[in-house]
Amino acid sequence: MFPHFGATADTLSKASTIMFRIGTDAHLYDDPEDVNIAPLLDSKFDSEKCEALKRLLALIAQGFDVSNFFPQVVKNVASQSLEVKKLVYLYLLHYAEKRPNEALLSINSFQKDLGDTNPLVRAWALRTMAGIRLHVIAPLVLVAVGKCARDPSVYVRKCAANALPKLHDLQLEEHSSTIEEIVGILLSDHSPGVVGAAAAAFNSVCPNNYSLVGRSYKRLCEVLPDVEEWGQIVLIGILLRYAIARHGLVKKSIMFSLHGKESPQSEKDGLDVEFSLEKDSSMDLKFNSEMASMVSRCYIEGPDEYLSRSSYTNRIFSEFHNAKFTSGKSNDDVKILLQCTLPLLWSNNSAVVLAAAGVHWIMVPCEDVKRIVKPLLFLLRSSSTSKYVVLCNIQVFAKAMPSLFAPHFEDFFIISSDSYQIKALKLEILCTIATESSISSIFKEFQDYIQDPDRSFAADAVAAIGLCAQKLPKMAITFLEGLLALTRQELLTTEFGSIEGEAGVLVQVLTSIKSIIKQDPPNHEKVVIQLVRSLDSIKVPAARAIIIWMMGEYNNLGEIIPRMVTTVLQYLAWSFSSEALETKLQILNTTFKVCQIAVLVLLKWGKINCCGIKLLNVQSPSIEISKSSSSSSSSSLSSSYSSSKLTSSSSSFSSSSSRSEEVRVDDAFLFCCDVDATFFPLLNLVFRKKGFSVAYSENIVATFCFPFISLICLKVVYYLGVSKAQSKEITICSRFKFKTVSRQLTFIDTFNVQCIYLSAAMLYYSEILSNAFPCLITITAEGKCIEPLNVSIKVNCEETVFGLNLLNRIVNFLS
Amino acid sequence: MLQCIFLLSDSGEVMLEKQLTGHRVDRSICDWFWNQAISQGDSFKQQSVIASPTHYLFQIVREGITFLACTQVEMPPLMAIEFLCRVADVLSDYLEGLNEDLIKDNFVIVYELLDEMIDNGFPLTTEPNILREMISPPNIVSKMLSVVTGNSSNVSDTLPGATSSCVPWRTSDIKYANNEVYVDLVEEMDAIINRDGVLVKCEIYGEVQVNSHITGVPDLTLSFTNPSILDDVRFHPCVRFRPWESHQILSFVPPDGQFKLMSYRVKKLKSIPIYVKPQLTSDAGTCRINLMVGIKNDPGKMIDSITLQFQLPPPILSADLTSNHGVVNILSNKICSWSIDRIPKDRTPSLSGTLAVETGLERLHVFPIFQVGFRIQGVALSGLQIDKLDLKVVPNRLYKGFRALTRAGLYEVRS
Repeated sequence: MFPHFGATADTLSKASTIMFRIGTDAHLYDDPEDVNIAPLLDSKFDSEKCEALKRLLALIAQGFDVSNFFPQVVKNVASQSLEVKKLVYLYLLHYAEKRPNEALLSINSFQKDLGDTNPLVRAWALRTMAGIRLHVIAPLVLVAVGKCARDPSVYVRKCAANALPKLHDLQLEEHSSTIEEIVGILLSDHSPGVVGAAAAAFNSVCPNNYSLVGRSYKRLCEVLPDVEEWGQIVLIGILLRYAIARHGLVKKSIMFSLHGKESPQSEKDGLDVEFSLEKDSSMDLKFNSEMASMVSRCYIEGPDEYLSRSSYTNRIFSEFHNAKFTSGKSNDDVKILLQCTLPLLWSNNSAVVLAAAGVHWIMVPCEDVKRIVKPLLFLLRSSSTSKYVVLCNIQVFAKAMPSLFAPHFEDFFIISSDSYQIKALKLEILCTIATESSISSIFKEFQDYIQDPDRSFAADAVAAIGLCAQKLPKMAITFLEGLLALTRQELLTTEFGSIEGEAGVLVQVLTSIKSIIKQDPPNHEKVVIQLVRSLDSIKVPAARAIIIWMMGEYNNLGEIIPRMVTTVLQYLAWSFSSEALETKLQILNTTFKVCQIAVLVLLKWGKINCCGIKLLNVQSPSIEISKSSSSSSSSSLSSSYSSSKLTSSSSSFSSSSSRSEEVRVDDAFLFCCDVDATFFPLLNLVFRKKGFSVAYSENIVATFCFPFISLICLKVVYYLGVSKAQSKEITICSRFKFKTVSRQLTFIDTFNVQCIYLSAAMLYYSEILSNAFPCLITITAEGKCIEPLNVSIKVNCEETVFGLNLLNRIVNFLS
Repeated sequence: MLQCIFLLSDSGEVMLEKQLTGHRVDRSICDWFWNQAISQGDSFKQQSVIASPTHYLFQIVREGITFLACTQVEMPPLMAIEFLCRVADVLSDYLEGLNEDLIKDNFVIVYELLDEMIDNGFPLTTEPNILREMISPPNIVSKMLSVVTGNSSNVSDTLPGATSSCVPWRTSDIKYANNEVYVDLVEEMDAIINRDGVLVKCEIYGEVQVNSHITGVPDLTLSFTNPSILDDVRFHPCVRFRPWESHQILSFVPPDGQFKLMSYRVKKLKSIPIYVKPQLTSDAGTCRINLMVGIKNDPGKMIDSITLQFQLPPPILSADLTSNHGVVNILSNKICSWSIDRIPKDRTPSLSGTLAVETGLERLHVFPIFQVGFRIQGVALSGLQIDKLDLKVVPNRLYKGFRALTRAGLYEVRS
């Protein structure tokens, strides 16, 4: 064809690029404005019009506003060339809303096209006319849609179905019944292609008009396999909602087993549970049943509406509230739905598989649910892009019914090409489904993961071991041995201290060990001893903090540890000034715990003062305070108070140490430091007894001066990330504002501090809160100093059941 | 339902925007998206569903092109993802590839396709066969024609007949002088060998690919001798469910040309064709690596295209590797690839060398994972066998062909 080309490879490739770009619209995209577009639009040749329109389209693609050509473009709508038409339509749809008046000019031409003999022309005209979205022409469009809904061409009827949501968007109250009627006509169309589009229209126009579905329920089920995939996804959802609304949940299904007993009316919103201390805490029993009826209501009303309703207080669901139940085996409607969705589990479209799996999950008796397992697992391999979404769903299923996925644990083994999110999800699922028979293989896998180059993933794997140990206490010893071996191994590497990831792994190892020990402390005494012994070689502050915490927590466990306590405390006092903040906090905490038990040891220890640990015998604080005369010690207190403001910086620590010798230990400086379990009772204790307290803080700021305000606000913001489930860091910002005409006030006056604003940053290694749900806990404490505190707790959590349980446990633990 | 689709180039440029509903999405969302992608790196690219401050975003990345769809209403996320995948498939089929230039050069076709594939945020026509009839793909003839005459339309004047037929995937009147149908079993073997050298998991992911060129509307049945080994299956929409449910027979009217008839999985296999023996010993700041690759269970056919790839762990600064067979390459991102191709008869391919470990580290504590690649022609390692392929109405001069191929899928050896 081109003999002069092809002489050398070079020219050949050049030729091919030229050939490649010849005849494409490349030049139009690169320089859309290199010629004057306006005259081209008015040209009498279709080819020139085409070129002009393509140039405009290129400008639209690149984000320019070319709506000023609108009048000229609209004129071309009457063109006979389909290509010109198509391009004009593309342009019109993009700008019609911006230029409504000019858009009206095109209506006549659409009206004419709607009567064309070519179905393609009719369909396009309808699509564009409805897509223009002008209130003025809505009645015209409605008539056109009504006509096209009875068109002989399937394609046109399909476009009519698609036009309905566009009309519905305009919110034409007076026409809504006509629109719904057309939806009904199209839903009962004999062509599966139309039914699919009609289902989509039904969902956005009238999702709760079940009478439309009821009319042809059986036929819709039967036609389901022939509907095109996108329609299937939507139609499955509609049929499921209809079946639940009509017949209620199926007996023996998972939803039913959650339901338990009939639930009374309640004001709780499932997503935001508010709860106060005074209330009875037996709510969570009711909650499961509440959940099930919530789920069924959610299906009945349609998810959009249900979720958008932010609060529903005391709404009475007269028809649906007493959730009905039906038997899956005897009910024909349910049976046919299950029958017709079953083959869809083989669909090539992952969304269809998931939708069909959803139906079976909800409607099938528990023992048959396992038929959805293999298709779901197959999705993980066969469509890689939908992996993440599928895994999220499997996680939900697995949490509700771990036995379902337990035999297939191998499918969740991690491969190096998985992204971090997928790895984390798989780990979590593995923890959920681990059983005694599979745990040894899973543990072997976890050990492999720990050597993975991705260190944050390795840390997650360690955390997963901790979670498994809590689930399967029988394996705890094996796990502990593995973890302890790791601490020794990681020690070697972290000694060189360079890599941040290693520190993360080590901290995670210790957190996991801690959680295992907590399950059965007496059995693991030796582990604690071993860890405390290794304290000197572990350099990572967070890791040290955990070991020190354990030291305090188990200080009277067994026979050896109590004897070690004094030596360890001496060592800690010696190293205090060089420790990192979080470690310091834990040292204080531990000392505090120990001193509760061994008051004498501490009182003897004047030297601890020198290290900045001013100790208080909490067991009788009020007595001590009342005995010490405030006026006589005020000057010394003032100095030590100012020094205690800076407790975090070690330099001021040492400078204060000489002076603080004067202060007697029982002068009642109390460091409320980290404080896991002891904090809240302590706070209560302190305030109830009007003891003077100073909270330990990284930066104590004495700003805000609001005297005479009787509010104590204590806000605990607690966030548990999904991926960092184990690093439970809590920041407590506390604002103590005093107003009491008491001894303390004069106290404060002499300091020239009318009000103390404290901000205490704390590490909260919570034991009760170990779970991987993201949640926000806000604890507010308010009240007058002389009265008991009023504490209210708010848990904001995605998973309501978990949120409620959590709340319950906090309540138990506070009271 | 989807509100807008953006096509982004690999440098973050918005190449194309297509508004789908009356609720317009400003393209500033792409800036937000791209800033996130830059700040969060690769892991962001792999997230398919993203919550932005204003919209939910769905993304898929193909050949450097990011397909981004936005929505503000509740919808099945997989529907959006599957749809974007379909768009990407159709585009790469039309443009014979996918890259920034191809999309820009053919932006009109891309627009026309998008307009036909989705209407008001809901998929309209996604069947490639119908699309091909409505909007003709760019080809040499039309390109030349447009150069010569300055005019050519790629928009069809008539509605394809298949839109109304009950087999929408098949063009209605097709004629061939020679009728042919080829069935390929293409299998991928996934395996994990753990750090102790134990085979933890071994399974086959396979596809039955059919290439049919048959006159009229043929009705085919395909059966396997051992369908019971299949652990799970997924079908092309053309496969009828009933015959499979009752007799495990595939009965279908095929689309014209190449398509994926079904995919399947066979789990819990016990033997792997290739072994890799990694040995890493580290001491006093250096690490010695020694890798051996060989045939474990001879599949009876030639194994070729054997490759081995691994990422050097972060603490390793440099590597000096040599092999007695094949070529070793270390890429800039510390990925090391060793291409062996075929295993020679006279010796076992091995790779050895030293790795320099970061100063301060006594020994290595993280170990690389080796990804193995291979290809075996003529064998389906799952053992699946095609029994027979029948046509209801046999046309004259029909040629049937069967082939099999196994290659490595996610085949990993940990060290």
